[in-house]
Amino acid sequence: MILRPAPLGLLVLVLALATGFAFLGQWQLERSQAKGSAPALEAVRPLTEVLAPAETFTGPVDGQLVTATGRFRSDDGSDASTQVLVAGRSQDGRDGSWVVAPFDVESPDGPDSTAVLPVVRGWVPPEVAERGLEDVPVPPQGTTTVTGRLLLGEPARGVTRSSGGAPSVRSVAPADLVNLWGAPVYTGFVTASAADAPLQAVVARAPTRGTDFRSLSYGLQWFLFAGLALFAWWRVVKDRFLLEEPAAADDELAAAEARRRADPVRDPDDHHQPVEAP
Amino acid sequence: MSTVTRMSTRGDRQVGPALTRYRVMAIVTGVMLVILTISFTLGFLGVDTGTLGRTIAIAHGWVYVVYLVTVFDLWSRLRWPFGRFVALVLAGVVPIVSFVMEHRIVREVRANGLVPSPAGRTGDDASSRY
Repeated sequence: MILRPAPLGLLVLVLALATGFAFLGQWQLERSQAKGSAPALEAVRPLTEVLAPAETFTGPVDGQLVTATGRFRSDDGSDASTQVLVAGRSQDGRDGSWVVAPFDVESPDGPDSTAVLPVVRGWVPPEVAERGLEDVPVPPQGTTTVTGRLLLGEPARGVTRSSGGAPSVRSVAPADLVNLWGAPVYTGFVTASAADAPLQAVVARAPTRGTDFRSLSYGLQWFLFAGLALFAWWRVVKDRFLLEEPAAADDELAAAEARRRADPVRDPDDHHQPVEAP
Repeated sequence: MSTVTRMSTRGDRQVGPALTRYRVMAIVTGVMLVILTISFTLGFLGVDTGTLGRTIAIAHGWVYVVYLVTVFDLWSRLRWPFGRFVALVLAGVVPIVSFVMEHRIVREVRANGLVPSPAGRTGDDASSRY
C-alpha cells in the first residue's frame, strides 16, 4: 500500500526537497567557516607592541602584519650570524626553500632588550637552493625595517649539519634557531613582504578564524527542515494511506471513533495512543 | 493524496493547546519577520546593522523552526491535507501573511467546532478557553 503511486510520488518530491535542503545546509556550514581574516590583523603594527621576546605566542597575534626595526646580522661564518635554508616550501605550486635570516630587533626599552627575530627573507626555487646561499644576496646591512606577517613559530625538528659543517634546519622553529643564534629569541617569525631577486616574497595569509554563527545557525536549520520534510511525508503516508486501507477506511474510522467514545479505555483498533500535550 | 479536507480529530487528540501554540508562534514569527524585513531593508540601503542585524537573523531562524514544529503538530492533529502544511510553512516566511493565515486558521478551526466548547470538557483549562 505504501507502494501506491500517490505516496511514492510524494516521496520523490519530498526526497528532492530534503536533498535540496541538505545541500543548502552544507553550503551554509561551509560558509560559516569561510569567514575572512580579522581586519585588525591587516593593520600594520610595530612588532614590539605585539609580541615581546620569548613571550608565549598567542592566537590573536597570529597572522598580524607587523613592522620591525633593527639590523640583519652580517654573516661572519659563525652559527650566530648564519642564514638558514628551510627546504620543502612550496610557492605557486613549486617546491623550493625559504631563506631565513637572524634579525636583531631594536627595542624601545634599550639595547639590553634586543632579541633576535627569524625573518623569512623569501623563497628560492630548488636550482638556487641546491647551491646553498651562494646566489642569495646578503641581507641589507645597517639599521633597516622589515615589514611582514607575524606567524607562530613552527615545531622544532632539530638542527643538522652538512659535511662542510654548515647548519640547516627543517622548520622555522625558534626552539631550533635559538641553538644557532642564541637567546633571547622571538617565539614567532616574520615573512617579509618584500624580497630581493632571486628571492621571491613569501605570500602568507592571515589564518581564517572564527565562526559565522548566522551561517552555522542557518546550516543547522536547513538540515532540520530536511528532516521535517521527511517526517511530514511519513505522517501523511501513515495517516492517509496506511490507516485507510481497505477502501472503507472512512467507515472504519467512524466506527472506531464511535467505539472510542463509548469506551475510551479499551480500544483494540486504536493504533495511536493519544498524544498528550506536553 | 486525499483532496478532501478532513476535519476529524482522531479521538482524544487535543486541538486546543496545539492551536494555542500555533497562534503564539505565528504571531511571534510574524513580528520577527517584520523586524527582519526592516533590518534587511536597512542593510540594503547601506546601513550597517552589525551584530544586532546578525542576532535578529539568527533569532528569527530559530523562532521559525519552533513555528514549523507547532504548524506540524497542529496540521497532523487535524489531519489536514499536505497542501495546507505547505501553505502554513510558506506563510511563515512572507511578511504580514503569517498574521492573515493565523486569523484564517483560528476562524476555520472554531467554525468547525474542533475545539471543545467551554462546557465540553472538564479539567482541561487550556482547551476550554476556545
